[in-house]
Amino acid sequence: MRGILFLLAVSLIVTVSQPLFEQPSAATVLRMDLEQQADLADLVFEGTVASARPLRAADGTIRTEYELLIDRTLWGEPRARRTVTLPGGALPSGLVTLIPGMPVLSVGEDCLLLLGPETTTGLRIPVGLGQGRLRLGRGFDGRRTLAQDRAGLSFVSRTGLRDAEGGSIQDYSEVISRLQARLNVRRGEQR
Amino acid sequence: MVRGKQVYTVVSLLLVVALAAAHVRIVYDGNGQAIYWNNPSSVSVVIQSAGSDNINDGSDEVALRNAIDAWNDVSSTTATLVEVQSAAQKARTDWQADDIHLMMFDESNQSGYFGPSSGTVAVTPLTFYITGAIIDADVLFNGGGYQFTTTGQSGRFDIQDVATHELGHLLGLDHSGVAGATMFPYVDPAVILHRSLSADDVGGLRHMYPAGSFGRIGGSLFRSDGTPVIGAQISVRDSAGRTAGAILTNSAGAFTVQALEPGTYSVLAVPMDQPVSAANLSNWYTIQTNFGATLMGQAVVTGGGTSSIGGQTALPNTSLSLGRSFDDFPQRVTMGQTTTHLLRGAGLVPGSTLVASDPSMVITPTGWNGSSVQFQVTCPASVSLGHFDLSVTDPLGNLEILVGGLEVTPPNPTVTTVSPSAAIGAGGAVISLSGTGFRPGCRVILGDQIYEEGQPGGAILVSSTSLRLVLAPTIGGLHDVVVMDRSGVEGRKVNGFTVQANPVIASVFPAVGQSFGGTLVRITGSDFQVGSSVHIDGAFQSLVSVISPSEIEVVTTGGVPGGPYILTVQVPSGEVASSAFQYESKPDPVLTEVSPASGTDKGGNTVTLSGLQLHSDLEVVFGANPSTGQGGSLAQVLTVTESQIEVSVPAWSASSASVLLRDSLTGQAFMLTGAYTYIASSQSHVGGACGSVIPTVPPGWRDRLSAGGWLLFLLVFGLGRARRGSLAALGVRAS
Repeated sequence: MRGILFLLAVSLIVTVSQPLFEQPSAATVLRMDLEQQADLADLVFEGTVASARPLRAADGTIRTEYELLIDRTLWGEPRARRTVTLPGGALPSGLVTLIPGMPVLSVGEDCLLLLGPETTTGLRIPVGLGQGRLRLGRGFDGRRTLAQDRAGLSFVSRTGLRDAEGGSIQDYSEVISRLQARLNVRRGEQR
Repeated sequence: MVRGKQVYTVVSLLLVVALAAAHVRIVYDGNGQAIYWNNPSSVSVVIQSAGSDNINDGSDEVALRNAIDAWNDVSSTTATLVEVQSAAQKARTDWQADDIHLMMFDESNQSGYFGPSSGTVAVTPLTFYITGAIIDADVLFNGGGYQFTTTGQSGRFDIQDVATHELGHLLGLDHSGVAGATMFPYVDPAVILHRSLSADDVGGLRHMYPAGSFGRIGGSLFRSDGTPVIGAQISVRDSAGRTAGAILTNSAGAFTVQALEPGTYSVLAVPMDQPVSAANLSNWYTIQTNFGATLMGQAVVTGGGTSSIGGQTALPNTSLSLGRSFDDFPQRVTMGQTTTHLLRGAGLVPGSTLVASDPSMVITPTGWNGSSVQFQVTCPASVSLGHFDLSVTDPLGNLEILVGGLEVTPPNPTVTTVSPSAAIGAGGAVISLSGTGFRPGCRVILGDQIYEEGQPGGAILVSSTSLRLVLAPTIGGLHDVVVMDRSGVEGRKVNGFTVQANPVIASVFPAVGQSFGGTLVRITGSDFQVGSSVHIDGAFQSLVSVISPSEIEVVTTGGVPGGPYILTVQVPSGEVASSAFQYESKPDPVLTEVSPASGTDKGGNTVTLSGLQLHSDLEVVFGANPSTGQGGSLAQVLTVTESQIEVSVPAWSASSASVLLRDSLTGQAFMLTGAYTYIASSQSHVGGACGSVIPTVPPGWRDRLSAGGWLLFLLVFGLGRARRGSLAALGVRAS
């Protein structure tokens, strides 16, 4: 009985703590599809979050420095490791800054990131905020998936923009092939 | 260790139960704590005075103020947004500071959140303790990346609509599953109805910060096998079929819909899968959608009491759905009119039926297309405002409900005449408006002023076709006259009223400049307007910047040595103020560096001023007024060369001080603002160390020119003029 209770407790802990580092948020952003995100990204890569270090910047804002081990780079200079700094985070003192719509990465998380260029203050903003981070996972059938969070994002659309995908979980290979196709077009346009 | 985990699990479960019983609030995922203001009765907000670059008539500030008022108009809540009007606070741009909650247009990506690819229109950063107590929140608009409007310009974002939504987050509200709510996660430039709050938004605020006694409806939702449905959206409708509130079920399938007025309500449960889904909410929430829309029964609510509808069984899941995230919500239904609509979804096949929760609405489907349905809504002329649900039943009897997706509004008001159509900006004139559709609680917006019907100093509703108001002191210029209904719809008489300006020049500094132009002149006075033009001796000055209604900066184009010439400031409405300006053939002095840039307030230390065209006729003044050149303290000049002056710094109060070079013979002058920092003697550890002047805000063209950039500017300016002169001499006209 105790064993069952323990297993139940562990599964509940896993369930409850899984989103421990996810942040609620509230920004108004444009709805983008993958192709639009690919057009705007300065850096696109797939990797694993190795560490997260919240810190206070010189201007007083709280940000988090993530170190990622890169599996593959789809756009940008290929590297084995990268440090990416996103706004927001929770300091050990208990002070939290929640940047609306900004994804918060978990250590150990596998993800695909579409990032904008580095700002003068060293930040990289995901393209479309939460839309620019897709978490890698597996579906019930064992296929690899990519999940997009929309927590806290208020979407806007503009005339002429295509509709974004309705679902938040997508097939991994389909996403990657769409991204690669669009990025190839972009490479062609740059030549 | 295991014991600790078990304790944590129990605590977590309790938190889940407690939170899910509340409205959809922003929750910190780190510990499940809902965030809140400790002192909600006075949440200060400051509208940053620069406003939006896209708006130059002050209506951006009015739109933000209207958004603040939308939340402040909610009764029976302790929450109040208090707008701070201090000019000093409004001038601040340090949104990061905890002591100021700014609503600001970030035109140059100062925040770093609005890179070229962020796609972000606005954000509301929140800083709080892990207890949930908010200590700072600001609303930032991406002014550099997007265009904003207050007049419904196509392709631009309505400031009031976006701001009202973001202020909901600032107060602690998460997104709502009610499709017509202001806190609905999707907005569109074409939609302005988020300007006004839905009953669900009002209920959310009242529940977070209650004052007064409201009714509640409690109950539970289970599947047929007895397991609870977690995260089901429970919605209640009042007797008129209007959406009155919504809530999510907790981990036990239980719910308590809060903040209800006394009355009879229908209760229903819908899966939150489209158009709002779990992905739109904080990750803390568990949302289950494997059940079908279920009508749970009716409940009678009395003030302060909880009415229970007990445990109910959810209907089985279906593939039928109505409404997608890329449909625009709320869809507008106009009183007394027939409107055409299209909603996307699934299973919308011929033979289905479509019904409104308000039986007085006549719904006429005109096309069932499987993935969409087209229909018309005929709305009676006299019904209550608010949001209503649409229910679709397919030929198999499956039911789906779109909660609060349609909003009943009155027709747009119209403004046909404004009489008189002009008045002086000092205010006091009685203005009459005629038109149609004027209703209680409407707002008249004229320039930078809002006149809320029924409020002191507001508009007086004479009839549905007539409004009257007494003009308050108003920013000068040609203004639209807007009547905005409480629902957010508006009528507008474009350029309907002129506020006459009375510009006055109080000072011109310096009043003398080099004849080949390039002198930065600051004009102070009153009633200057955006778009004002400046002439010297009749010559149009092309580099003019209206800093504020009391200050203009102009870089002279040059003229014939001599004078005094007439300098005029003409406001767009035509009124002119005059003063004098003189040209000298002698070049202006230029100051590029002050080293060291700080010292004690006692003065006496030696400082080297570097620059150009320096000579022994120059006086050096520390602490002069940056706008007028008046005041300050004269420094003792020790040595002078053409590029450096050494002075003994005069005593001055601890502050950031300007350094002024003034030609005692001609009056030509050059000033570096904030170039020298006086440090209180008791705090001084500087000891003559070298420092540099760091601007506190990103420099504009004026700031850049005010330092070493003047050298480059003068070089380019001089070369340009020389080239023009050369070309003219050759008989060539520069294009």
